[in-house]
Amino acid sequence: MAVNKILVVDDSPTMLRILVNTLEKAGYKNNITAVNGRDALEKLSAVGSVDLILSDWNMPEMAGIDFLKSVKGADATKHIPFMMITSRNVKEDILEAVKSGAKDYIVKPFTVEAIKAKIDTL
Amino acid sequence: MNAVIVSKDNLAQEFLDILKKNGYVNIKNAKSVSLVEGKLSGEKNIIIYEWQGQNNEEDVYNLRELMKIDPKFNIKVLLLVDEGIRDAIKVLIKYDNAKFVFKPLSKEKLQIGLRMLVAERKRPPDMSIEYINPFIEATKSILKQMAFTDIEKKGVHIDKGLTVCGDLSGMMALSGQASGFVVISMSRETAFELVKKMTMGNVKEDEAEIVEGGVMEIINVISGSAQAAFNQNSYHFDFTTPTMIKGKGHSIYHGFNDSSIVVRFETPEKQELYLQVCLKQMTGNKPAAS
Repeated sequence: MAVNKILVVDDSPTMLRILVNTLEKAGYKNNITAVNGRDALEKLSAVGSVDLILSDWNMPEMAGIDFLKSVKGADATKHIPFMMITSRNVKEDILEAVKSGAKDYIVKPFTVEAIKAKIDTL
Repeated sequence: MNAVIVSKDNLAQEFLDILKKNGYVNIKNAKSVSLVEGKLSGEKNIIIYEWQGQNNEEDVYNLRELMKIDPKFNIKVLLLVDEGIRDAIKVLIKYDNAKFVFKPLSKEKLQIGLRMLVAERKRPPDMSIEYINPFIEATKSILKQMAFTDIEKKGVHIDKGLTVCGDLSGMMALSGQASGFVVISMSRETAFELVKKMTMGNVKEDEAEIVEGGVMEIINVISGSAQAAFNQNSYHFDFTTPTMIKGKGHSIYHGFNDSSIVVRFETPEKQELYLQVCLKQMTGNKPAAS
């Protein structure tokens, strides 16, 4: 699957910058950023669709898991591959994300190569 | 107070006198470890074990057997070891209630050993190295992976509840089987250098929000990594979201009566950063050493 446009969601401006840098270095230059799940839903609604969503788990207003459920619960967006990014390498969290429709799960810290490998498998 | 001596030879009178001077008036000999428990009584017992060195495996086995003695006896163990006996030391560091002195024994060495055992009683019971290691390992590994920086552990000390370590501190509180907090502190200059590496150079010195966010991300990922290590040992707790505390020479009052352990690290550029961990065990078993 060709990935062009990526929606990147994280409440930390530092992490957003790191993620966008990492994606650009991996060759993905068309990125949209949002600071929480609610902001991401608005951005998604504005652009219509994206090829991939990368979202943090812990965020204020709307957490990553709730954002994931909203994306997967809507006909217009449920087809979009969703990858959860988190610092918690906890089995129960991974299971919950996968059960809710996440395509994959990225544990911080990550490398350019790891992100690229995950996207390449889509 | 009782002292049981496990040694092929009886201790010389001058050493027995030192033991008596330190309050160990009831001194017994045991020819083997299996006989030790039968010679203990009360709550204050020390065991002086002479490392034989001819068969290290047997000594290691004996030390582990000593550690299985009923906790009601509250034993402390002083090992008499030959210099270079690494096996003894490797096993020893797993136990808070054991110390060692090198042979040949002298009055001074015995006195120092006894003092170390008594000092050990004053250490916070929940702050053993077993709790700190996952955080230390996570800090080194995370800085290597996120900021491409090899940091070196330079020192460890106990802090009495008040910490002044740097301009910026990222802090996370814990709850669950343990409660407490974990903090990473550093100067703004150190934070900037690390965040510059994390963002591949994409940060300016006046971007305070990005620099501070980087410190919070570091503590966030350290905690997540340590949490995973603890979970593997069936020890569970949760972290709050990270909080930033900033200001030149700021202080952190953690509100615990317990002390915390502060680990000082240094980057290759000689910049310092500090990891502070304060854990109070609530329920469950201690984690295994990582």
